Amino acid sequence: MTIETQADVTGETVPVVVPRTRRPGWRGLLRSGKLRAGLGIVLFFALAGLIGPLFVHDPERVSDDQLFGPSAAHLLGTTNTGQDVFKLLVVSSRGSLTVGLVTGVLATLISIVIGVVGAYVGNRWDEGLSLFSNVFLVLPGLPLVILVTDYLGSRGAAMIAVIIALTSWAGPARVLRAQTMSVRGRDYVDAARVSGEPAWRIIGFEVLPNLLPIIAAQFIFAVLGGILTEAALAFLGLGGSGSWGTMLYFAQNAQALSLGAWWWFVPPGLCIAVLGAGLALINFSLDELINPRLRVPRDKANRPATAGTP
Amino acid sequence: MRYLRRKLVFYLIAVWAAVTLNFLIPKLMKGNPVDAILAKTQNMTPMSADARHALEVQFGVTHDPIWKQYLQYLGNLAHGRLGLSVSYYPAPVSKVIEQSLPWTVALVGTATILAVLIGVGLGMLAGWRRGTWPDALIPSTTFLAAIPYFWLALVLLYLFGGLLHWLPLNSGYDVDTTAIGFNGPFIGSALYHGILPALSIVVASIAGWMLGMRNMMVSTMAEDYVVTAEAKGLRPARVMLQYAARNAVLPSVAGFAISLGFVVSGSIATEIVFSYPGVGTTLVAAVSNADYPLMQGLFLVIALSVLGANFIVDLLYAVIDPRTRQAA
Amino acid sequence: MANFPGVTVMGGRVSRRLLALGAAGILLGSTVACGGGKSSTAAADRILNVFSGANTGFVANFNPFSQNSLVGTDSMLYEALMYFNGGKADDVQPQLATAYTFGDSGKSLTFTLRDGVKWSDGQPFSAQDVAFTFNLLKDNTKTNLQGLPVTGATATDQTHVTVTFSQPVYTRLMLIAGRTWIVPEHIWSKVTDASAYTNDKPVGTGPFVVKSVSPQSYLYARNPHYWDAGKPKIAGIRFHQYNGNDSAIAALAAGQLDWTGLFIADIDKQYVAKDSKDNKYLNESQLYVTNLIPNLAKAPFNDPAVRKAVSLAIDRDQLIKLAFSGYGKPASPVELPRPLYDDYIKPEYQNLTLPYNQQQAEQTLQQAGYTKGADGFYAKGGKRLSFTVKVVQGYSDYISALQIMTQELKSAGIELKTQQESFTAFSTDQQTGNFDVIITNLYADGPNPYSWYERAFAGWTTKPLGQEAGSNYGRFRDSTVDQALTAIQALPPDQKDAIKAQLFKAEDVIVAQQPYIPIQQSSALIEYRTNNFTNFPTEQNHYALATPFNGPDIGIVAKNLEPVG
Repeated sequence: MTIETQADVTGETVPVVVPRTRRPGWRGLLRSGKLRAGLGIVLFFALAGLIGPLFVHDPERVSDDQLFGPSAAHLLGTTNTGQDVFKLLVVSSRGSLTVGLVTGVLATLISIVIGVVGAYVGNRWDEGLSLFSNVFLVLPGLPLVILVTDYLGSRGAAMIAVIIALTSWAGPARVLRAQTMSVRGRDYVDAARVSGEPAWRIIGFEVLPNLLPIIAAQFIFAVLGGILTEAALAFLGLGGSGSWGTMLYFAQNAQALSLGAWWWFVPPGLCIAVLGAGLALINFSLDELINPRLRVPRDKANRPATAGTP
Repeated sequence: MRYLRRKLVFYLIAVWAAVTLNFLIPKLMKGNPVDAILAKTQNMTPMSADARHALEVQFGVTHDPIWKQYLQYLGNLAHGRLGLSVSYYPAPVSKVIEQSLPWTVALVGTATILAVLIGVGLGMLAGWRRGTWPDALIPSTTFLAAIPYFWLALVLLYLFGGLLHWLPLNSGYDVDTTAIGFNGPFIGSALYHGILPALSIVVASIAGWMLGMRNMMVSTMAEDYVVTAEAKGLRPARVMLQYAARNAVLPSVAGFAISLGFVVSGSIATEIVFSYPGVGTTLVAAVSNADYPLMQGLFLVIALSVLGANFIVDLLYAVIDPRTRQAA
Repeated sequence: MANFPGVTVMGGRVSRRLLALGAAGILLGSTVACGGGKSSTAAADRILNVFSGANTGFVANFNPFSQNSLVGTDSMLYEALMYFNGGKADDVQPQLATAYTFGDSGKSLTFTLRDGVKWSDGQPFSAQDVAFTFNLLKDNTKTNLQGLPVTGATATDQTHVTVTFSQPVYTRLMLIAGRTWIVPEHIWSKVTDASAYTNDKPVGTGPFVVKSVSPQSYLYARNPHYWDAGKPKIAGIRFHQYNGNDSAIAALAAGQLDWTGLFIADIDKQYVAKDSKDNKYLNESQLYVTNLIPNLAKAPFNDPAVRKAVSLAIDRDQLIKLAFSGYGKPASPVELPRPLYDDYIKPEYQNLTLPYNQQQAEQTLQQAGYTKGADGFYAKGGKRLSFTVKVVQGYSDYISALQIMTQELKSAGIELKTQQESFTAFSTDQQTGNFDVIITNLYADGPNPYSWYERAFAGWTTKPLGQEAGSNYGRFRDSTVDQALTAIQALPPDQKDAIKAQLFKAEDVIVAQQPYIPIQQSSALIEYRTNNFTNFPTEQNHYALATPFNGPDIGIVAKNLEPVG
């Protein structure tokens, strides 16, 4: 395994990890405690979002129990309109997860198309697409999302996810492009090309499998980025897609903080942070997969720099 | 020099893209700013067609072909005219931005530099001595990285401002006892008021730097020149700083530029939480007031600042990493 | 956070209230720190600290013809000819003018002006200035935000001015005499476009002058040339800014503010309890009425039975308690805020309320030909009784109210859906009639309910669907109402009984038809602390609206406040 620095079309330098093995060792990965913890957390929230709402009866039901603290009747207390915070939390997990998932899938797809295809085809296509993604990379994301959601009017979780995805694919695209550049020159890819395999086949069967761990890592980052961006939008009163961010917005508007109703504004933020930590732990293990030496102390290895924090 | 030229071309294109995007977005918008203004004025009698037209002209609602509007827009920008703000009308957008920009630059700038220094420093230590306390911190920092900026800000505010009363709850400085300017009391007051907002940005963004630096450090430690230096028996501190860290920090410098955009985004909600008089607050207020000229102006200023910062970092990069000059 | 005016970051509560009050424009402000308890500054030099809802930095703008001038421009810096008390119907006080007479069947107005008034730069004020101001409205329509049909104005001598109009203006006296801010000719005649002038160094006749402006606060000081001898008694007034309600409430509780209009949940705990002797508040509950405004030009709300059924199915007490923190008051079926317009409400409607009766709601629907389907919802002709309410995104109290109504209506077999949209999109939809139902406020403005009824119900203030209507968004048209309102236009304002007789005719139609579905009367909490200043308006002494965000009332209150000790 070696580290290379490549200068892309704009002269930007991108450190690249070149895995030595052709197929990554997925099996060893499952032994990692971090990965298990991460998967456990994410699975827990996924289940909560998927089937939780089925068990929660009428979460928006209001009552005269205004701003009650946690009790047996209301596990996490109530809101100012007497809604049960725990029920809201369960139902809102679906909104947050949907946004995260849709953002992740879309942003990853776009980044694969732009990053991998551009780098594989090369030449002018690559120059153009690379320039395009570099421009998107430096445009400030959240202000753009705020503007676009305001102009388009918010229409629920899916719409917001699409807007976030459209502004967040550029980072992953750049990383994937750099990886593709290095994989493209390998012997077996050359061999496939010489033997006349069509480009889509080579990308699909020779290039992509090698990029899988990196794509997975970028996907997880995109999911986390989607959840965080949606939370910020909702908190600013610009999203409103029934998520944890929406809960925080309502709590803030009802002055939960100054009324001391911590049971209302602490749980949604904590959920985001714990789910985020779960996702980050998975990524952590993926890094070690891409770069086996990262997991052994005092061992030396490489890892691509990921762009900032989402 | 080829590197520099390519960079310049790239940034020119990026600026053009930002400017054009800024022009196009309002064209997608539903509704008409004049309706929003009229809804606010609650006129008793419906406005005459003439008066309505006059308002439309003032706020740039025209029925010219789009290419003509685009040329007019570029012409105005070239003269530095960002138009008139709706919510501050007749004050120009540039004046509103002028008042808020320094606050954000100071807050976000300081917080980011602090986060980078601390994060890169800790990451360096963690990568240098795997298994020691900074390295053990790494998995737990993922939790910090996943916390929404604004929520952390809320909790900090609740703890330090609300419960403990150690730090001020809001605002950029103490207006009653100090006046804006280069004077001791004002700067002191501004720093004091900046502690909590800066802290929340630093805490929420430090993890990324730490992880990135640590991993690069680990990689660099495997390089021949580091191994050689260690073998030669050089002082460990010297190996760490001059051989390993110096090379490992390069991607962090590139990352620094890119992350500025993220930090600006993150600070929008933070500013709101702390009533901080910066561009984030102004942007959100502009959105809720349907003040499109102000929104456009702010977006443009934010985008151009991020681009400018990136450009400077790129130039720096060329200076510290000789490979970029050769590679291109 | 910021449940605050105009420039609300996220709330919407006061925002709507404020918009209502029109003239005030956008409010801005800054932080405070003068410590709690009684100020150590001598009473005569003490500054009043005010938060009027500002959440973004101040930019100097003291143009009285601008919607966005800083709070206090109207009434603290510039004055009108008369003062119309927003807190009491038919309470009109002389200001720059001491008397008025209508002429030419209401098409001309002659004002007698006060003697010995000076501009704040020391120059004498005269009838020429008044004539100049009205001619400015005529010549530059962008300054004529109220759309006054001015055709000319002439000063007959130093203290008399006659303004002429293209139509009778009996019903617009308040806008002409009470909302037109008189500017000095010797300064404004040199301004090229009065509507686009920021007027950084204002010269007015008002009780205060501008002392300093910074993005975070601005300060007005006593005007030494002021005509009303002995007033103002306070040395000055400082306006502050907070982005969020939480921080403003904290500043208020810490004794750093003297006067605010903050929405505070559980006000007794968060505010009054901190200093029960001096922490006072007033609930200005007659500023507006929150309504569901249905689109009367299409099904299903063109059927009065549906409107009645929806109204019957809403438990307003629960709504007020849960969504409006218990501060709202029940609304009257005549659609007028009480007790403000009690004098103009037909005796038999005085105690009329809107009942909550789900059973009756269902009966009303059944009588109108609706049948309950297997899904639990009523339907007619195979079409489910379902409608969408549009609401401005982020108006959290309305959104909560709609959640509650969704449940209440569901149990009566009616489906309510909510759609949030941006303020701009909402404004356009509201004006073009692109909605089933909107939730919004109707605002009180005027010495009698004429202008309220005209804006809400006159046929000439609406437009067909798809065209922009300035008001009457629900597209209500009724010939009896139109005739009654037209009759009032020909009546001088002092013929109160004749005006009442016409309004009663309109009220009969409104009560019978129920064009809108009223939800609640406003809950504008006004907090003031009496340890440093006294003589704020109270329910007993309502000499002006106590709201610290809009002229002309804010100027009247400020000049009547007295420092303690």
